[in-house]
Amino acid sequence: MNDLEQNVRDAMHRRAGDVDGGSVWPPRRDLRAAAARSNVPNSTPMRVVLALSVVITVVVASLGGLWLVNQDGGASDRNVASLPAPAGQQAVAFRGVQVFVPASFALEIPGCDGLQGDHVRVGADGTQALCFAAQTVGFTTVVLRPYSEASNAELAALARTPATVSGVDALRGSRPLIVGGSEYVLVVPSKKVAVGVRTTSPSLAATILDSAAIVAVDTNGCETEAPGELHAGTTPPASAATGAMVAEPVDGASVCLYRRNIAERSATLDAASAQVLATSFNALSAGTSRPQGPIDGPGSCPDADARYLVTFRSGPDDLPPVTVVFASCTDLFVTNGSDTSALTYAVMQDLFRKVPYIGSFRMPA
Amino acid sequence: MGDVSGFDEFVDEHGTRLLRYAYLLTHDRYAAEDLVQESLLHVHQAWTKKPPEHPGAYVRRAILNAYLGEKRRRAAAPPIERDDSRGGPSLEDRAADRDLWWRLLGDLPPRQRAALVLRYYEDLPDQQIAFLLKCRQATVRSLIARGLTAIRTSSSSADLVTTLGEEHP
Repeated sequence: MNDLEQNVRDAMHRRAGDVDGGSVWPPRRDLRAAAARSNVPNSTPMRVVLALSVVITVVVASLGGLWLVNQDGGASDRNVASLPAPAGQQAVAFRGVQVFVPASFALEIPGCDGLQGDHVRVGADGTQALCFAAQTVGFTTVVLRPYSEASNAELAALARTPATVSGVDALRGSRPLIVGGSEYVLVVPSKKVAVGVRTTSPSLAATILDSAAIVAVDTNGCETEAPGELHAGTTPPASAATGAMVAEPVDGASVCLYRRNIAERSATLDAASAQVLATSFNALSAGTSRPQGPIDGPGSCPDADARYLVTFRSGPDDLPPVTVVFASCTDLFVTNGSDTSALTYAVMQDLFRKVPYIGSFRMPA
Repeated sequence: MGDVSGFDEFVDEHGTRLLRYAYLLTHDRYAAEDLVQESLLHVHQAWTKKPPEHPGAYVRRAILNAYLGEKRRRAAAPPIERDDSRGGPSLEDRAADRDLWWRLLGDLPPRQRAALVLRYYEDLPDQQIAFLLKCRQATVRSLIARGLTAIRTSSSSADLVTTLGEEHP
């Protein structure tokens, strides 16, 4: 095999590896019951419904994160701050594109096991094939996901009707799904975001997509564009090592996940969860850690700039934000700008549970 | 209802691999999901009559047929009017892809791309690729050679784009 062939082979296996995770079958008994309630087309054998209930789940997402959405919105300017959710609705945002979905929709369900109703996936990319049964048995699935015309040619061909979202150019389209129902999509190219609604209810899809807005701050208080406090490099700042990373006790926190300095996912932590995280930050050793495995060069860490920004609250005040650099090829660390500590496997697991990350990274050695 | 014993286990065991295979063909994750789903539907219907002797090859062929069929339908359809203001993939988009070879593979005609995927991802010999593509082995070799040549020819200019993009993310 020559170099060209080897490059082609490597590219394929590398990309195929993006489609990660394993097949997870939903509980058959529950699905049969759900299917029996649904209006599955007569031509679709029931066993097919069950057999096609394959979902490919991102490994990190399957850790079972709970995504809490703070519905206490901020200001009302559509382009400046977050939008409060109307009664009975909840806001979901990805890269600054926000939609309202019914409050009853479940968020961030890993796999199909808990998928017995309408749900939302945020940042679904590659491995998050939808649970096929969900489309068939009448559930509605909303997916906010990365989009680029270059890598989503099929989607680009589908979304061709001009539209606007908060004055920004967008495109909409729809197509029937082979298992029944339709997929309705909204693409905001400048934000590199696609919103897809797979449902049997055109009116529900329209309501969700019509609610789309561009926001500068999401409902968890995360700025769409990384704030200045976010430590920008992958080199740790010089550490004064003067004290605790976080002043305890804390009353809550927001966790924002940034990639290429754009917010992708976020969560609001209650006091108990925030306290556990603060304590674990403070228990870290000074310095930095290294990623596991051999590093073949910058290409080994394509998402080196991915990082969490954690802002703890104490009473009414926000504490200095803490940045967690976890996808670098070199140093992995937690820093508040003056103190720097070595990131550990346990802390990464805890963060992934709170705000699942979908992308390339290596756990700390 | 016919006998579908083994089908669930087959999909359970091979689901991820099938999705990856479809993704390499389509270069689009949503399209890959649909392709796998559509193909499994057809395979399941056949399975109820008689479980295939080689289910892996059977399903891969179904996925490949669905992929090539979809490409043919698109090719036969009236051309989509292009909004020039959107242009092609921007430099940023292309750079964001960060994978020269992947991009070049995506530019290949469907059958050439399929032949390369079957050879370099599925590691199949000419004979099996010929079976899946319903062509002669010589045609398989020709498809692979032309695909590799096209990639080699395109790589210089594409490399420049990637370099520019990475310098100015």
